[in-house]
Amino acid sequence: MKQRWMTMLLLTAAGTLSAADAIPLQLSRNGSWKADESGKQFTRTVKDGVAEWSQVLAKAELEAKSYYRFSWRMTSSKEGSSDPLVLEVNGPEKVHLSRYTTFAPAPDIQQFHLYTDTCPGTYTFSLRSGMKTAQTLTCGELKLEKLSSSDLEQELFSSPATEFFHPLKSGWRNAVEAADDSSPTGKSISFTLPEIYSLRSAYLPVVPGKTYRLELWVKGSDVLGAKIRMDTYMGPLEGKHCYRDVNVSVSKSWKKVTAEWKVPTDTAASPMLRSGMLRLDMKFNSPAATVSVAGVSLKMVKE
Amino acid sequence: MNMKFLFSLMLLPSLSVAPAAENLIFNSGFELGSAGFSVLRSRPLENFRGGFDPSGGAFPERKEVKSGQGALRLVSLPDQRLTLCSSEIELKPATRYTFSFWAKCNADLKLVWKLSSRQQEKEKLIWKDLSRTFSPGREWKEYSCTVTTPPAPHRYYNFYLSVQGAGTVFMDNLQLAEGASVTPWTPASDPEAAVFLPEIVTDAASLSGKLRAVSYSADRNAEFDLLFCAVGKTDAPVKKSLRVPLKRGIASETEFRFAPFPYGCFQVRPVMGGRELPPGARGMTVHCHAPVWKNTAGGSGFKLGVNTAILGRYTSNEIVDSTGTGEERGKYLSYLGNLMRIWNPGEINWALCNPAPGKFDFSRILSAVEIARRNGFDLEVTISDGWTWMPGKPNRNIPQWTWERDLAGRQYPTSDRTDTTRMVKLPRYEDWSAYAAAFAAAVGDRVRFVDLMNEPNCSFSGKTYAKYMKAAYDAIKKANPRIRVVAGSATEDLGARAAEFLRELVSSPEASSMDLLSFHPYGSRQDDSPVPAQNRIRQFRQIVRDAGGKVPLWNDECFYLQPVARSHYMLEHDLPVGAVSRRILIDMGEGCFASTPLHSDQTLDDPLNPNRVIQSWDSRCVPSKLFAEMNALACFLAGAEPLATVEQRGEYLGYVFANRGKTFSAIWSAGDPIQLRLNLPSGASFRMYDLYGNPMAAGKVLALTRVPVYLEWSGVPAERAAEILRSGAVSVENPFRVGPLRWSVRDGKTGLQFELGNRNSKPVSGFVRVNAREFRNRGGRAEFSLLRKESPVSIFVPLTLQSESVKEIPVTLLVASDDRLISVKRTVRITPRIVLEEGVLSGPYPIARVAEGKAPASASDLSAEFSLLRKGDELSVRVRVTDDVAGKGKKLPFLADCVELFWDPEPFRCDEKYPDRYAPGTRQIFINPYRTPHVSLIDGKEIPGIQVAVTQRRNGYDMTIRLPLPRNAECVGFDLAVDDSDSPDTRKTQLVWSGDGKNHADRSGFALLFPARNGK
Repeated sequence: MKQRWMTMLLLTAAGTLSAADAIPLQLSRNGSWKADESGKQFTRTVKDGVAEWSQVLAKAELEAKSYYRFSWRMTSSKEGSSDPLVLEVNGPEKVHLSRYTTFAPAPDIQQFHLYTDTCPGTYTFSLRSGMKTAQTLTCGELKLEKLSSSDLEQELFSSPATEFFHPLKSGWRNAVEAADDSSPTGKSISFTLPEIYSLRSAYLPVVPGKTYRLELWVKGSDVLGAKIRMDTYMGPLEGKHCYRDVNVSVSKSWKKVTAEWKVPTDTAASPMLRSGMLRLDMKFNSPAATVSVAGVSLKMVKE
Repeated sequence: MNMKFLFSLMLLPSLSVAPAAENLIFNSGFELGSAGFSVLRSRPLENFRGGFDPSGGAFPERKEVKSGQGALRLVSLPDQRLTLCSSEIELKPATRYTFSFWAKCNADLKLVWKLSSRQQEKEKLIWKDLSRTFSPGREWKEYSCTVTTPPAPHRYYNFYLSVQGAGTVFMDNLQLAEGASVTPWTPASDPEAAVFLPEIVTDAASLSGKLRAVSYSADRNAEFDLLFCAVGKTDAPVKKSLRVPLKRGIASETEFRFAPFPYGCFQVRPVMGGRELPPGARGMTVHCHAPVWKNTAGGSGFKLGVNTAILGRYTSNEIVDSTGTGEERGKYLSYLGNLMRIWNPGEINWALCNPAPGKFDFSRILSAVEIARRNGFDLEVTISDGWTWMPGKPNRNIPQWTWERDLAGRQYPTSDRTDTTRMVKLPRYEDWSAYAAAFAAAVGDRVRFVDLMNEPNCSFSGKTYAKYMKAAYDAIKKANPRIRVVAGSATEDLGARAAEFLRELVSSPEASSMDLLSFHPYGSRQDDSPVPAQNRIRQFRQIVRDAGGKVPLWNDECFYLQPVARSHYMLEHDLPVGAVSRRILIDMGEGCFASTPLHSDQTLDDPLNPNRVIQSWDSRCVPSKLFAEMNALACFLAGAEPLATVEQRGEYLGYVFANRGKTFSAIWSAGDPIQLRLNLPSGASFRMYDLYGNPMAAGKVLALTRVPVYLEWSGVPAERAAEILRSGAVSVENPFRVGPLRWSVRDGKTGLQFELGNRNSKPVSGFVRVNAREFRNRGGRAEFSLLRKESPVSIFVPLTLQSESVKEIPVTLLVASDDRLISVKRTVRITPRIVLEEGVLSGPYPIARVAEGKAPASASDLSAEFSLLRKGDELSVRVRVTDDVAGKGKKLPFLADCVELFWDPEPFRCDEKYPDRYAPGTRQIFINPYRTPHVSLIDGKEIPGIQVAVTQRRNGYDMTIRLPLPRNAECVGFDLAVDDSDSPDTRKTQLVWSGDGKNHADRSGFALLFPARNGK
């Protein structure tokens, strides 16, 4: 089936949500998920060793050519559980996005973005849990907002704690942001090469034709090279994508990296531009070093 | 079979013996001679007449050996003691080790073995000694003991073997190995090797040395790498590989050569199998300029050298040759300058040289003078130490016979200084002058400079000293009018105030009775000290000028050339590269007659024990990195005439001077650790030399650090050279200046407030981030924009404390602009913040923290509180003190009942390097309720507009202090302390409100008062 550029997912933690328009959601659940009296808060008690895929569902009507942000809060009584949680989005007609990323329970609100392009209609957001470690899950504060043009001009990263991950040969691993008194933000994502060689962001909504400014701070335990790619790309989709590479010499002290890129508009040459999404992909080149990244910012430049 | 080479059989796999424990002693069988060991000879002061008998000592022995071909012969003479010192050994903490050795002797004597640790740990000296005594017999026998090492952090040791009694001891096969039992002797490694270098090399193109090596187990071709390393630098070493054919058991020597060989201090370290051999195997040398400045101290121009002993190191009751015998020292010293100061009670002090009225013995100092004469340097001889009298510790510098006829009899008076409560001796003027005259007559023209007394301002006032100065001056001039009398010797050590003393001295009626005025600038040691060294010299010169005098100045002692005092003086002996150069360059450039700040011991070191905090008498020391630095200073500065000063405050400092018909400059960065680049305008034509006088590549851009460089100008007049240096454009890596951090409040929010400045000419924008776990969200951030040079801005970073109980927070402050991120680590004290509403009484606040002395026995013994009231721009401070005994006193104000008000009208202004020290406007105001006038400040400072009213009560006093608030100030720093004295001139207790006992020098504990004006 031909994939349509319709529904884009992005897992991010919510910061301060703007005054975007709230879209009514129709909520439901299945399996061992239970709703409270309001019907907006859900709980699931997982018994040890008993696997069951069940879900909380949110359904809404979305317009064409629009950016949306879906957000929720999913917490677990068992901190650090490695059991998977999956988000699936199914749209009208041919739009059916299978799982392409997972997320972990977190105390923060999490979010993802989507762009409907030419496919308006009914969309279902399915938060699926397949736990088999004994714990209690709670899910609530589900929200869907339509982003205005001013929303798209705001800072696109809100909290690196849940917006970055490390692609590994064996899968992927959440990036860990920890307190770091040496960092210009007081926190940093630190990791050790060569076991971890890359840091990648989730997908961020961008508007083709607009210029975006990237800023971040980076340092290494040794001098090393890095390549930072701003990539109009979304994993499950197909088609040529376009990107801008920034080569960086990482030093032993914090160094600020800045770059600007006008996102092209030629969707014929780069069909992936129709996704309306961009991700950052940083690759580091050293046999062994510790790298720290902080203060990642991506924002539309006002013209 | 020879035992020394038997051990190799034990290692054969066919023999089922347990592996021997590792012997940790380098060259333990003395097959490499005495490499890795040094020897000290000492003599009691009372029978020391100027020399050590060379037949006593430690000598390589080839005949009387226990095994192999080498042993050591220790010859202990009846009138001098002998100690063998090992090189460094690294031991595990809290572990048992067994020491064993073979010995025999020809007399009844004892050997005392002492395992010793002297280390530095967090700016403190830690030490431990373990000792055992042995009585060797007439035949070879093995002796041993087992000790347990102290716990961590002790790690590095050496040992001493002292011979007690006269006779000859033969020693062989020493072993220190882990375990509680004696194991068969093995060498520390096979083969073993040691480098031998000359101690001093003069103007050479290359360095020649020898590697002595021995193989214990087999004939072999041993391969060694030699690393040629510059001491005090981080340059990568130069490597040379040697292949040495060795016959089993026979030591052989191989010559090597390193070229080029720059001036400086160098070690050659042998490496075998990729592993560096222990410190005992290293060789060290200094490459010096030939002392062409010999016999020049009588001429014009600048003079320099060191404080020194010449005949041997004096250790309170004996003389040790650890830093060389007289002849060796004489040769050493000629490399260090043209004028040395002898302040050494082992060679001269009044008691030693004048044992009875009219009886004099100057034999020791005359021996030293003769050595100086032969080696071409002049002497300043300090003929007496201070005359402070401590009860129970009679002053041994003053002849006992003078005690009976002291001017004050047996009632030794307390000092007539206001800053000390010491008692002093006041000998009769005629006794003192007779001694000075006898010395002058004895030395004739062989001593050009006589210093009367060391640091008299620790003992008494300038007025009292002036009378003794005149008595000695007249007597010396009568005996030999060509001798120049050095007076003053005023120190800033031990809390003494040199400026006050010198003012009294040069203003006294006897002020003309001196030819030179000396000082010991411990309170302003370096250009980055809180009071910069150059400013202190200018202040002293102004004091002399104000008194109508012209006497030249001489910095004749300042051993510890760190910018501020550290915890233990032994740790300050070793100076960073460039420190002594900066100090002596400043002295020269500011027009001092001479400079002799260091002690010669500081120019020597023990390369065998790199991690030992050396006391200069406890192992044999040889010329080291400060020796090379002093040598280069002598090369550039002996005879120099200062021509111009180049000073960009906070940026760089330098001087232009002439010497030997050439124009030179010396210049360095004034910030620490700032490095800066100085872009010079056109017209700069010079050769450049490093600290040791080695040529450097010169260009239009000077990369300046704290280590001075020398410029030799060609065809450029001195004034033009100074102008070129002054007009250079500075660029720095870190452009930001961060002022003192204060816990403040703005618009109802708490946070950190400080002043941020920009050193560069380019305006910058960015942000400040404060990180600390004690703050909510781990910190906060504030932006700044277009920060211009010389226009600092006030930054307020809103922050919320996680806990209100925290008092001190270590913070990381990051200043970011463009792609630059500068990190500053500071500690912030959480102090009170009070908003002063117009006409609203604030308080009462208890003054209750014990800052000094005993806690009050009760509230009636001492308690206090205060309130604040603002009326317009006037602050009224009402203090109520309850105190059961009124203490008026006569001396320092805080030794009596006293309120101390700490006042800081500009709490955010500061010196960059010492942000919490007093700013120019900061005041410590003493208000004595029982004295008139009530108010006093130190060092002639004033506080305009202050008014004080005191009401005495039966059980204390009330005090109202009114003082003007600075106009338009957002806030002022403020604190109060109360001193309680229940006996004359003795402070029993100090209570403080916000800060602590450091308030007199550190304003970080002050509270902030916010005069709320216009409703803000």
